[in-house]
Amino acid sequence: MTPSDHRAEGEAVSTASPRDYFDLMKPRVMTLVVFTAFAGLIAAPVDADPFLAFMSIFCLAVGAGAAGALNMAYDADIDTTMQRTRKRPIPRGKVSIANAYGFGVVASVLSVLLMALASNYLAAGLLAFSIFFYAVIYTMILKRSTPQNIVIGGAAGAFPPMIGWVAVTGEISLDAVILFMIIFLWTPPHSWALALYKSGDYAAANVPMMPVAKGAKSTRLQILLYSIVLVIFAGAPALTGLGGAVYAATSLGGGALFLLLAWRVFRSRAGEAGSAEEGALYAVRAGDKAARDLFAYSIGYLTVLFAALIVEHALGAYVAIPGVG
Amino acid sequence: MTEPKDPHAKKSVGEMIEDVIESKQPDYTQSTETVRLTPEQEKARGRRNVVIAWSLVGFMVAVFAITVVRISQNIAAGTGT
Repeated sequence: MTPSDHRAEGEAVSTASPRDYFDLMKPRVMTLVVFTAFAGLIAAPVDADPFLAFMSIFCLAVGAGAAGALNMAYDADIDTTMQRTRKRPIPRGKVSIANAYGFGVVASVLSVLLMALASNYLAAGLLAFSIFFYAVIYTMILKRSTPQNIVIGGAAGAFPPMIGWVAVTGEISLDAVILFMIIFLWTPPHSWALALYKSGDYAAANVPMMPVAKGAKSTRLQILLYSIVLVIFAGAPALTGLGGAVYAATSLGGGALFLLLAWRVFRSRAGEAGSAEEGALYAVRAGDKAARDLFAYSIGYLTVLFAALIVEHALGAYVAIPGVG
Repeated sequence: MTEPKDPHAKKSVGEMIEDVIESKQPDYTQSTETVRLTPEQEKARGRRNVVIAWSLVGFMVAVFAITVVRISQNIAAGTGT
């Protein structure tokens, strides 16, 4: 082997930093996962050991991050095409696809094993299933084959509060299913609002998101319909006693604003231009502002809903609604 | 004053073992790597190694701590270990 051969081999050695691997885990998604899981855990009617509860949330975060890494590994080809994802570690050449797969699989296995030890087998099983659902069912099967991809795939993102609940109670109750359903119904209007003003990006990558496959008008109508169902369903915790007066007020006020923004999207021409907007996540043309506003607000809406549950159950602000619970 | 050793003299077993060990000692002053890395690659590899090491330590500590808490709970509940 000549020195130049050695140098050629050396060029194949990665310059990836730990930060690049952390970015593979989709930190922003992980933040929302941790937050909603914490809400589920806190709202559960059980006094959990703080250390074991912390470890359960940690395992969930690592599991969600592992699923994100597997998603990035599989989607490396379209991430290179899309403006929004071009700066991820794999398109930048920092992490190889094989290394991303390896990292994702190892982190998945370790997170599930540790979850089984820290909580119970049901929570660990749900975590394993949610990772499988996101990485295989959503990423590898649904995402590139149907405009309903995020409707069905949204289930993966809806698991965290349910897992948080199950981690401390050991069972799936009606309230846990309600928390799951809130995020499940929240995902379509949230994702389609983004897809409306980034539709050119998805079209370039051949991903059949709703605006690409069925057009902007149909998407705007579906956003409105899903928003109505979501806002109605988000009131369910107040009816079962899971949420008290603070939650009910938050759900009513937040829901009304959500519907207003969804109505504005419905009445707008968002997504009509069809080309991807260059630049940051929230950068849009004038016609797409309604979609951008709904996308941004939807994150705040979900955060506030779950924050209300945390405030009520962790800080003792729970005030029962008369005749409920 | 000690006389110089006769190189042809019969060696003891201990001396023969020492000879074998010495003959297989790598020269640590020279790099044993066959691939030449850039300083940036070496630095990145070092950082990754440190994080992997700490992650392994963290995992072991987590398993140990969870086990201790679990056993303590079971003892307190009177269900044994």
